[in-house]
Amino acid sequence: MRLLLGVIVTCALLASGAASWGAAAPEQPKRGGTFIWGLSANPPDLDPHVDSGVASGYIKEAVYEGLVRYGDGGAIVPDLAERWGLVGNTQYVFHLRPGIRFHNGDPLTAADVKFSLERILDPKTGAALRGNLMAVRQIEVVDPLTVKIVLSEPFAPLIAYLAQPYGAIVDAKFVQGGANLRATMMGTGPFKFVSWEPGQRIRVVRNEQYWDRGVPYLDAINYLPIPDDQTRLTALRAGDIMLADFVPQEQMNTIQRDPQLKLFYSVGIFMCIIFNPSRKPFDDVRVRQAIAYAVDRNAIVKTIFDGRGTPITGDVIPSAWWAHDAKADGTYTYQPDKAKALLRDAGYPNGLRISILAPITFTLHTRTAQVLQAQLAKAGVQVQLDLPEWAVVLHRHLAGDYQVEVRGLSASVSDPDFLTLFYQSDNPYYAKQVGFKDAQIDGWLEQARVSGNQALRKRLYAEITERALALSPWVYLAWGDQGEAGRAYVRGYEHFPGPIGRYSGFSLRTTWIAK
Amino acid sequence: MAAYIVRRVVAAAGMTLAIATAVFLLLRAVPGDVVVVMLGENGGSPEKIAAMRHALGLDRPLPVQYGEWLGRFARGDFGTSILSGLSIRGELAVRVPHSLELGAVALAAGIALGIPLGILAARDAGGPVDLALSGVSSLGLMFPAFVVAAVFVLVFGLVLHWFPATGYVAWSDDPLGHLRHLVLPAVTLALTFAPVIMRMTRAGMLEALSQEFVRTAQAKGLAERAVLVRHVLRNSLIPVVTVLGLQAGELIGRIVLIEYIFNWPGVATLLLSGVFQRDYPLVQAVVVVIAFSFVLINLLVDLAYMVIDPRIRLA
Repeated sequence: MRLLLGVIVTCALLASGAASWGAAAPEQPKRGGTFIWGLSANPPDLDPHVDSGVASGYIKEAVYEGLVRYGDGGAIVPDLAERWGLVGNTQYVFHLRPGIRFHNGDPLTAADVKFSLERILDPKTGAALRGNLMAVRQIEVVDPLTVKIVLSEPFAPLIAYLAQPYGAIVDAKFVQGGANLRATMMGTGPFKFVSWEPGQRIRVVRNEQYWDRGVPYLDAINYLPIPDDQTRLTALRAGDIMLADFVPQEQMNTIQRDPQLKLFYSVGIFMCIIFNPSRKPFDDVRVRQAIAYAVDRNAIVKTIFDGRGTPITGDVIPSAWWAHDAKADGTYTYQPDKAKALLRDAGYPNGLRISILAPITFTLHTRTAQVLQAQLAKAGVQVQLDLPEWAVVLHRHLAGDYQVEVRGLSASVSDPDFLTLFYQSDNPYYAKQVGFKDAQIDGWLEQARVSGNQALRKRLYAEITERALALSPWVYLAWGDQGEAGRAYVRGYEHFPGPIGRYSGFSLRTTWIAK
Repeated sequence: MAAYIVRRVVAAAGMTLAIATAVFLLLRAVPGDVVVVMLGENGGSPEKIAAMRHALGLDRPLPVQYGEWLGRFARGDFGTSILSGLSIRGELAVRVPHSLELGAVALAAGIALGIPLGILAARDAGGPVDLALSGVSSLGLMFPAFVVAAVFVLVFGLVLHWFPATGYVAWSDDPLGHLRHLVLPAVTLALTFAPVIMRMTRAGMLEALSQEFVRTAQAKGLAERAVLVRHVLRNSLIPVVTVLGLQAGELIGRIVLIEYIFNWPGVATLLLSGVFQRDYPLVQAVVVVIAFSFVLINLLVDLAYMVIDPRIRLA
């Protein structure tokens, strides 16, 4: 028990990251050194406005900045905009910090902000934020340091979306001059891009002219792509690299026991299954509910996340968020008899046969599918596993070509508006191609998005959650830890809490090497 | 002889073309779509997908795409990667030398290990040295490359810290570091075929030793060393070269695996990410380059026969 407590305390310390480390032991950050990051994927491109995966994000977050960003503890902090205000409920006015320069010496002006946001809105860019900024009607340059975003309707989560790294401000002159942002980087951030040797190394060095005096501490960062999980951790253990992102869950306990290493993590991913309600037998809500009762979420936490997770019996909105609906928790617990009864009512007294789609590319997904196969068998549901690789799963997902699919997801934004992606009937992510449509949910989502009143929004999201659980187009299984592993001498790096842990590259500005 | 070489070169070119065509068709027959992967799971409305397919020229008829691709290919233009937008020739120019270096060093190490040990075993046929060597080589053949790689990483990388466990350092940055990074992957690769070379050398030597010209050479009083090297070894090399050619081909396959395990930045990771993301032009280019190397190796082996055994030139 004492050992367990020790582990928990250590975890808490690790999770709280930079600030509390400094507080617990007053260590003076040391300047200098080249940080070596083992990247879990080869970056497909370097365009800051395109989501080319979590791994490439860690580089973009070191080089680019937005109007606002995620900072210590995952809070939204001013970045290039030192302050902003809301005029009426559809006009946001941002005041830029004076004297900021891009890495090539160009001064940052409101025109660059306008250019960047318009680049995001241009469908040709394929920007990650575009779909979330559809409420933006126009962007006005008020004066060189003031920019106004005019919305066509109120949009509560705007700031949360702009805090994502995909809201980066780029140099208008540089891009218009023909620079290829997919292959090179030039921003205002704490680090300057030096070189990209594909498959081998991406190097950035300290921006000596950085506006936030005193940081960054590191001289340079070398990002070495090491896509294989095992190889990456081996490189970390051998000391060839200082930090490895995307640690497989089954390795986390071992890493925490190793005094040479430390784990930076938080609850960051949840596993779920989604149904195609346009296909039998999942057009029947009772069958969907039966599956929701037939899964043993505690066992899933144990087998999939090696015990490092929490079952989701109700609301998928993280419990630490203001919008979490505690009332809904406990809706779906493990009740195989109830599952059987529901199946009987739905006309399947002898059980049924289904097929579950999951990508063989990711162990987490494959293992979830295998556990589900064993669990559902107990409720009389024979599962056939359909395990192609990721590219095929994506294709079939978007074509709606599946009966049941295993997904590992996260909220991409620290606002419950992420539910739009899951339930809104004309969203091509899920509902549109499988024909899931619920007028009530659509209405509530819309209302919650435009309302500036948090109490009202909380009520609306609770309604959505309860209705969605009753309809069960998605069955939530469990939240699990996600994180990076580093050498014990890594300081000042923070894995942001919850789903926005994927943007932890923002904490590289305060990272330093204690050796 | 010139006619023979021309015939072989034409056959090699035809083979490469056939492979290129097969790869082109196979990739398009496999389910999964680069545009969908590119737009990601959140981004793919049907209109967006169609627009991007059009922009990339993927909506044109297959024969048109094939013709254009082949035409550019013949001119040495591999096109650009759909995902990164970078020139594939540029990427290959960086990656191929890394793989070549690893392969060449491994090949040299395997030969340097296999042939002398084979001679040693043949000289002592049936004796303790021979037995010990054939025992060790059986062990070597038993373990697949990835097992050997894992053991090496564990022992020499993590426990003894003699060599870096994984990774790569450019020669221009740090020559010694470069060589240190090269040791484990190269030795792992060399060990996968050194036992075969050793056994072929041993068998070839034994067969040659029983030939009459050897007895003649010995009878005229040549030193043992001269007999072994000038008469026996040379005559036993044909099967060794054949096997070496086959092994070099297999080595290309194993390099992909070993590069992945040791994170050596050669063509392997490029190929794998290309395959996973359905980056057609990239995969086509890499596979054709690999296939071409295979064909080239076979051609070189055929030519090597002629050097070793002049009688083949007449055939």
